[in-house]
Amino acid sequence: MIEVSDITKRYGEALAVDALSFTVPPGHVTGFLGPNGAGKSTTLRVILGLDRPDRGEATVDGRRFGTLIRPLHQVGAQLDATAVHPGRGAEAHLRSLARANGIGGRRVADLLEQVGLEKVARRRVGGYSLGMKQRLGIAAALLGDPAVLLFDEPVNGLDPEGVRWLRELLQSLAAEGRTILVSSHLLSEMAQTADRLVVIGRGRLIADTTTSAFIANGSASRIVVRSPYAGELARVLIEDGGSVEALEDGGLGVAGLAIDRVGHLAARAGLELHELRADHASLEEAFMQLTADAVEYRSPLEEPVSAKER
Amino acid sequence: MAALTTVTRMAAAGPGAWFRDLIRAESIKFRGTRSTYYSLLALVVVGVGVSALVGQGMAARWPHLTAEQRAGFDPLRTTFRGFEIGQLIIGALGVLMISSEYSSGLIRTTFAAIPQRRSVLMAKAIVMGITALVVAEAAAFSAFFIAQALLEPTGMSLSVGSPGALGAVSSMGLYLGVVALLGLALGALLRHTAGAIAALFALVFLLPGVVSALPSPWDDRIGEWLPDNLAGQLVSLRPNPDYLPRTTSLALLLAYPAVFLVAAAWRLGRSDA
Repeated sequence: MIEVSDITKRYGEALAVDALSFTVPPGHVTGFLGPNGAGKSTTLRVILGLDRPDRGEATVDGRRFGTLIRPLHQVGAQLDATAVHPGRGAEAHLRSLARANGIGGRRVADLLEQVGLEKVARRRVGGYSLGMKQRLGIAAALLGDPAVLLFDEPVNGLDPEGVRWLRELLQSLAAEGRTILVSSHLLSEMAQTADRLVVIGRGRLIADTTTSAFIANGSASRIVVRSPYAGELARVLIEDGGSVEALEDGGLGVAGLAIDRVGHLAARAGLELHELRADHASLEEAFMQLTADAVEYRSPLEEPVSAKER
Repeated sequence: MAALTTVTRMAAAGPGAWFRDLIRAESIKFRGTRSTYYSLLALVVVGVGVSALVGQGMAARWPHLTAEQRAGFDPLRTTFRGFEIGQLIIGALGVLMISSEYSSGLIRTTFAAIPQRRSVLMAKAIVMGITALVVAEAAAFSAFFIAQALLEPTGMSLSVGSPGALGAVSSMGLYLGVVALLGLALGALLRHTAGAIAALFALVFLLPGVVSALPSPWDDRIGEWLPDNLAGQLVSLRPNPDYLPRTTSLALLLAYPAVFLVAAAWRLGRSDA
């Protein structure tokens, strides 16, 4: 269990985290979402005692991280995947962390095998791909077999097979009763991995809820339907109580009707369909809607460019 | 949660065993990079190589020197010239031991595995200090034996048994150990490799030259406090009578890394990692 209570952290003038409170319960994968600059990494650093908050405190299983002796047995963390000395091998890196926490070499060898780095264990980390560095960071987090695990953007640089491996790993770790907090900006990935979400923007809490409730409360889920007889189809759907909007590409966005009902109505009216699907981008949209005000670093070019495209 | 207990827990091992593990962990890191070996090798090659060259050259020129030049010849300090470069090499190694952790971001992984930051610094200092001392003493004594053998024809050569020689040669090694720790402390204080190496370079290399250009008596009154001149008092067979006496010099020389390490520990405890 991770408890963040009323944390405020400034770097000079910049307010990185603003009176943030949330708890991360055991037995779940909790996604930690927010746009760039939202304060995710700062929060993780405060939890790990690396940065000192100006106000409030964070505890892991009731204790401040800084008071833990040999903390890898209680808390494992993967921060920045590139935060390893490029001149050192994976094995030396892990053995050093293990030794400082009273963990033997056997465990290091096992983990190198588990994350698939046993063949390159003695090679310089500087030559590793980002995905390999992610696996090394994950191995480091698992060294002490801790009950609480923190991962900062672990999916970055992993290949699709690696992403699936990580997702299964995180879910099995949670199923063993551990507390798992995973930060990510890949919302679609979080929707498949996390069953709880903590969403922040501009250092403030936006949502702390289950993934399904977050999606349901965000933008209502939508059905996308495409037909050469869009006008007629829209009329039929509205008559049946649906609300319809015209999409930019000529399709229709339908809300208020189930997907099988939309198919049924089209067939009954004899209208040809080219596409009928539920819109899976809903988490992204819910997120965009909720954090719209909270995006701190928006490219100044963003709006003119998209206006031109239209 | 049976799976959580598969790793042997040694938290009950006591503070002594805990700190020994920190030293071992730092030693694994230290031995895990090639730059460690290259730097130590470079120190030995430069220190011993230059002393051999100087010994050889001096022996060749000896018959042509005036009586005055012969009288001013210090067979120890002159042949230890290579360690003026060597001190920068070992000092840079000390800087890199911690500044490379900051530049790569590894420091956060380190402190997330060992929140006791001051103990990490102390473990680093022990590994760095012992390694530097052992290698530097070996280099100093090798340089001494080779140079003195080459100086044999001049009649000025020393043996380990010569008065003051043993203390002077071992002081050379000690000084290099001091510079390595100064490097480590500056690396922890400044957190940037280039800045810390520049600061070290200024302290041990540039400052003595600048201060010696000051009007008397400030050249000596300030100069005698600088690490380079403190070491000079110990390594030279004829200490400068205007500078501090040897015992004071030794105490001050050892105080330098202690003071800088305390300052570094203070900053580590206060700032964000």
